[in-house]
Amino acid sequence: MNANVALIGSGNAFFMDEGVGLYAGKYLKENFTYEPALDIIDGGTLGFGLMPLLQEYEVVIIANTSSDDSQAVGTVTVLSGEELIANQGIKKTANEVEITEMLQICSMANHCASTTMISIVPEDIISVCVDVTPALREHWERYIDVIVEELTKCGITVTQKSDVMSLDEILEQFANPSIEHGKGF
Amino acid sequence: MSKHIVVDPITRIEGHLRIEAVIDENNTIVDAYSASTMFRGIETILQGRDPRDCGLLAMRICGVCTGTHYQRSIEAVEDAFNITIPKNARIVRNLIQGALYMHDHVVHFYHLHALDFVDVVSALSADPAKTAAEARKWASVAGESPFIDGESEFKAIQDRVAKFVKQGRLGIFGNGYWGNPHYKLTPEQNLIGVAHYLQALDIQRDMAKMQAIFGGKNPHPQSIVVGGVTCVQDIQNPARIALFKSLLLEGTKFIKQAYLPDVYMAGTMYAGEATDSKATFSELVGGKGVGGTGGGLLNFMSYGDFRLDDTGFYKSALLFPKGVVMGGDISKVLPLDEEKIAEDVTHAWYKGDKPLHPYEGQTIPEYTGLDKRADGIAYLKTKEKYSWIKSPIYNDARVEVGPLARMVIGVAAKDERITKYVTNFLKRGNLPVTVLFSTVGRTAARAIETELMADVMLEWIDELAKNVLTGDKSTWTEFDFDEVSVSAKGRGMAEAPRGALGHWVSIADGKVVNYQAIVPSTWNAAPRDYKNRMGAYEASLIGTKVANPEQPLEIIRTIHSFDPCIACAVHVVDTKGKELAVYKVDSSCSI
Repeated sequence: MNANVALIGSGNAFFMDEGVGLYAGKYLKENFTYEPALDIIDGGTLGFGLMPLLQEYEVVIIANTSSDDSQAVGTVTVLSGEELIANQGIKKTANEVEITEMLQICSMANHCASTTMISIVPEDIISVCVDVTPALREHWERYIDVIVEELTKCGITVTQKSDVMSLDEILEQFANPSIEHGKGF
Repeated sequence: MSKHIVVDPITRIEGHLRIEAVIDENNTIVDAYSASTMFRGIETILQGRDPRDCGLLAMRICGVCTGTHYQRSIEAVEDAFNITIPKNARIVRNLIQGALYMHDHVVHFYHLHALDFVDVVSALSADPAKTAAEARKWASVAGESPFIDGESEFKAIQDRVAKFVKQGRLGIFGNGYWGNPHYKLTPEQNLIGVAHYLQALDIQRDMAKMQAIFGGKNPHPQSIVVGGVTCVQDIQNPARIALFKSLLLEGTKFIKQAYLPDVYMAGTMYAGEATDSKATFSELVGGKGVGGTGGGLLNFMSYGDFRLDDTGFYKSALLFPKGVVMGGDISKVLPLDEEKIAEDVTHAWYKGDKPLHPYEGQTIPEYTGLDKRADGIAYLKTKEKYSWIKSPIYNDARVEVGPLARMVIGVAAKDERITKYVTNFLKRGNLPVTVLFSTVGRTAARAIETELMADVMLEWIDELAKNVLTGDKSTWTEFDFDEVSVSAKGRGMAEAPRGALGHWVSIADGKVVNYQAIVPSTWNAAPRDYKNRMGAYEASLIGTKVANPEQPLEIIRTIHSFDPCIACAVHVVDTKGKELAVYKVDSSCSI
């Protein structure tokens, strides 16, 4: 733990768009610098296992999907922890259900981070494939912009690096992690 | 008229699980179906990979024991390459997994399961002074002083919960069936449960830190590699070992002074259900009723786990013995024959015409859909395929896996350590051994295992420190990948907190050609098999009396006792499809 603020990328990299929160986390880790420091964490498929993080940090931002059939693909929603606890979040994927219940449980703890969830409506969370659908790709940059905007609200200065790792390069790392070649999530 | 209860998704679990139960006119469950409505299919993504990297992908199978899948995958490859890891690596792996067991079991009992026994609203009317006395009573049963015994502390917690309620900040407490007659604890006992629920939030945070000390990256530890571990600096750093030990001792204190006493309390107050032999699956299928509500199959299997010496993965002495116990007969344990494991897909949404051993296993989806009814509920086609979970079979029988299986098999195998902990628990609680064969027994077995694990980990951390002091700094066994990966197959068969976990890998020319995993919840949550025999969840619900069909508390309590790793809203409908009540609806399950 190096910072007071954590960005948790959350989701499942193997079910097409369900991994978009993970990719956002990796993209923001590789392509930007932060002052003061920001911890970017691969939350993966964890739900209740993320509880210690909410107890450790002052502010937690979770990037994930929101499988809301009533909204257009790529719709980005920013919800506070209180709004999520009040069941205003969408709970369709296993991960979405667990994250919300994890927040409900942690709200009872002595300390629970001020939490914000930034979700994007996916198109396909069924296909077993490490990729992002063309429809969701159209909204990728805006998704990143909304997360950066939220980090800025937390008092963090976000500066983009000169060399940018593209979304496709991020996807390649998730699709082909390698211990030998030091590639991973 | 019988009624049809659909619980979908079951909350406070990991993943998607749906239960359909049929209850008779006396509100007793006479039939039950368990289904996962989410396709995993991760095995297909592992084909063609470098086997050394499979762990990185396999860990994403699960939302809880990611580190266990990671390790099992690596052990399967080590078995294929005939690699025995060094002593330091063995102990470190035991410590990482042991810390996961402690964390997982505590979070399960308090945050995912306790509210099936504890009525939060009732706790608000408790007398704090009487609560303190009650806490002392149950701690003394465990031979301990209570984790909290001050009237003022209980009053402060009660006020805190009352404040939550007043502010409308109910959080997870907003979802219970409060006031249901099948809640059996007194207001004071409920306040103890709520107090420990809140304190367990802090304790589990520290238990998670234990996993990170030797696991490197957290979450998703990556310090385990084919051949050993990479945390060389951590095992040579006395401060890291001292920190691990300090966190372990704090966690152990909570387990002995709160967790065990709470399970004695629940075990005693719910003993009626736990020993009701007329509410057992075995009684209703024509056998002799053994145990009580929620007992289920009474067939248990364990792959064994936690290596205690360095003679090799499948030769080593084990903390948890491997074996099989059939029909609740703890007088004998049958040896585990790996060749007798097969997966059947008769009632699962996959193609296949016969049960296959995991080495030959296939994962070819064949979704045939749900029944569609005019009332908006999609029912399972229970005569056909109805789940994304395959049906694992051992020696042509259905079996249960998990902490209860490990404790039962340990006793049947006359394992000295396990027998001591189980006997001590039953003796102190003045409970019969058959109480284990029930929902409450399954929960108690997990608590017994947690205490055992905490105690043995203290031995292991000392063993690690001592070994490093002798100058042994080896953490990795060298191997020639090109040589060993030409043609090989291996299995990583051991235990996860929820039960037997196996990964099977076939390798040719340095690449994975086939990969299959059978996870604990596959064994337990599986649908019927080719002989129409029930899986463990399904069998465990048979005979259960439901106090109020509109509040399926008893179904959720029993399913939670398995610690499912597969999430739900509740529809209660009659057999003609009329919906009686809907509590929460997951859109993925609607049509």
